[in-house]
Amino acid sequence: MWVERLTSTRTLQALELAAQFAEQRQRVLAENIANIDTPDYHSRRLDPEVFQKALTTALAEAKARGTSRLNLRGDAQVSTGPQGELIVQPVEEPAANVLFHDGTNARLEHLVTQISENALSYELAMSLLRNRYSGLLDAIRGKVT
Amino acid sequence: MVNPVSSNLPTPVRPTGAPGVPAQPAPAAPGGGFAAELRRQLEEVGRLQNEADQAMQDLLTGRTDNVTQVLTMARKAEVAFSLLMEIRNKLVDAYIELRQLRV
Amino acid sequence: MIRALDISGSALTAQRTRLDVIAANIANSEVTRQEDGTRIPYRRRVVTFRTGDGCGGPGVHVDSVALDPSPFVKRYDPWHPDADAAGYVQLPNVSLTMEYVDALEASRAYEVNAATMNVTRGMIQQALRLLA
Repeated sequence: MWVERLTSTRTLQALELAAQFAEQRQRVLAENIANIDTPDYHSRRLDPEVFQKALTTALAEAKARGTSRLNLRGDAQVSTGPQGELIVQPVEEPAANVLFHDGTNARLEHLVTQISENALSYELAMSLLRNRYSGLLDAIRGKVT
Repeated sequence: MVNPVSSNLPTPVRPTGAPGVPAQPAPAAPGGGFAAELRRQLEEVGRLQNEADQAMQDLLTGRTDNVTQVLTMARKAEVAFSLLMEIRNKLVDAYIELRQLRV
Repeated sequence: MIRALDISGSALTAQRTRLDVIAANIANSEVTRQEDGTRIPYRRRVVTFRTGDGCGGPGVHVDSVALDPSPFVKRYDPWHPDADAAGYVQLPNVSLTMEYVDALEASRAYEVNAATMNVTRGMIQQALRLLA
């Protein structure tokens, strides 16, 4: 119960969910890049904006209720499971984008940018998580590392 | 006696006397002024931690994209907390040393 | 995230296969006889990609290596040992320019997937540092 209170604060949960989202999105992006030469392949996507919006609502809700458990709702793309873990459902990109043959190059640069951005988001979330956890450990041990 | 200030921090241990010896309120040299100052610092650290928390949440929800600010706030809160903890440790050490002197 | 590595890995394999086929086409672009000696020119090979890794997982794989049905090229060369009565010789339906462009595309796709793999690897290392 003690440990729950220390390690399940809203911010920690938000950080964990953000990291999980970046991880899941990496898979979807890798699949899009792998299939760049596959005919009839429809790109799939997970929108960071959708995640951010769901997170905002969940944080406000948890704060208003005074709980620390975040529940993502409202969009099919992101939701939380029974243990608070993130569940994602990628959506398919509409076919019109894919059939544009000259757009292959632009799509490639776009995909590469997305991958870089996603990796940075992940790194950010993980850095902050590390920072919080090491702070907790310092406090518990009662000495500064 | 435990004095909770915020749920993020452990509470500093107040030195209590051994059984049979009347409890001293604080180590010999500091008076009420210092204790009040210490409590103020504790609240300040709590405030910095809460602000860093809120800044992290804002970053994750997209309300801000100022990564530098959020990271520096997190670091500042961390350093302030470390400083306070060092002070606490030194006070405890000093108290233990004083107690040993009496014997 | 390890899945993401597998996905990129499958793309590397697929593009490599494609490059191998292109290399075979270029190497055989002037071949006028089959392996058993019959006077039929080499026919261009073409790979088809398909999503999925071929075993039910995500990614991409080479579905088949098919023969290009387009007609052979005729060139007037009466001194060629395989020329017909009219002096024309049938050559493989391989255009070096097309093969070269294809090879460039394949190597670019290979590069991009290799870079993606590196990025994913970096992310996994970030996760491991959480415990360090």
